[in-house]
Amino acid sequence: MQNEEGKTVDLYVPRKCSATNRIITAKDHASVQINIGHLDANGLYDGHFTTFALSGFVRAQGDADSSLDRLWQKKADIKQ
Amino acid sequence: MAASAGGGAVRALSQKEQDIQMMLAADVHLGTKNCDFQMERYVFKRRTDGIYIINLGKTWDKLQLAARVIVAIENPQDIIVQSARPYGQRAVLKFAQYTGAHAIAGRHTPGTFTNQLQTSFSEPRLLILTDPRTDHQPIKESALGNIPTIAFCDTDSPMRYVDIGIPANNKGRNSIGCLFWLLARMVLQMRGTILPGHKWEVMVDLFFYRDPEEAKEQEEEAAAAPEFAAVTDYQGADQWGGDQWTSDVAAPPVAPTGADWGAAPAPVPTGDGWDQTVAPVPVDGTVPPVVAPTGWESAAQPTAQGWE
Repeated sequence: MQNEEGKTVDLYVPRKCSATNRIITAKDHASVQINIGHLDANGLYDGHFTTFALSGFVRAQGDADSSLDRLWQKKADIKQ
Repeated sequence: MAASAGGGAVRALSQKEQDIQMMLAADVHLGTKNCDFQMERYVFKRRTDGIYIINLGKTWDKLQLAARVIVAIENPQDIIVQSARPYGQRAVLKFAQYTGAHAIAGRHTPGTFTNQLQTSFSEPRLLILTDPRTDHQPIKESALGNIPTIAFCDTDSPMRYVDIGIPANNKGRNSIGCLFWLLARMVLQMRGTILPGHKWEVMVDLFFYRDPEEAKEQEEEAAAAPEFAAVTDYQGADQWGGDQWTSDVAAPPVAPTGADWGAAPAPVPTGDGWDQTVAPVPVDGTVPPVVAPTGWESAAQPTAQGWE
């Protein structure tokens, strides 16, 4: 939440699902956060990664795989 | 950017083609007769007998994505690779050995990820499974512990709580071993353990499941070898006995006795000399003494003849 001056007044800002923009609550034990590593020209891992968060609702429906594919395709195109 | 992408594409293509050929040889592309609606995008075609064929190009891409996720975790011990299916137990152990992950081969103890009172309790950062249907218990527990999941999915596998599903045949012995070998090699290449352009010396056969009967047959073959060394020859003693018998047959000492007998005839002429000495003394008495010596001579001669 932001006040009229535009500053954030909350101590805890929950994450959002990268696929459906749902809020990942503190009690959502089925949610995950996946780090996909970046590779350099030689195919070696260079220490950087892209983070995707998925909510438990998406995973329970079985759409996590297709969502991750879609997100990674979009991100990979930008990276390349 | 375009040039580097082109170079990467050429190299990736050549390696990709070899990997796809290996997967074809291991029957990775054969699915099942049923198809889950969320796996339809991986299906290439359906055969006339109803079996779905998996697109191996997409399998390779998902293997690459899974390898990226595995590499991004700093401590390999935080990864758990698991297989309750017997065909995947050896592959899982080998994968854990080469990548440093933690392997659970066999039955999953319920509560491993949720019940912290257990000895085998652990909170992994990543879970790799062989089959979402067989390993359904770790998937349920991962949904209670915020654990991402990578799984090899057949065409009829449920996709709930699976974040990265690698479409593959997870019911064949060679298929499971080949997939784990490819995934391990990709992880090692991304880490730099295997230099790009170099080949991994570890054979893919190490990841294949072996029947206990095969191991027994090999042990029996090894046990058969010592039996040939038990044969020993024993004819030397016979020859030694033969030599002794030959020495008994020789009897040369008889000949010297004959030589002694040759000396006996010499005294006979001496007897004749004695008769001549007695003759001249009594002229009339000569006739009786001559008869007596004759008898003595005749007696001596038969004795000698008998002895001879």
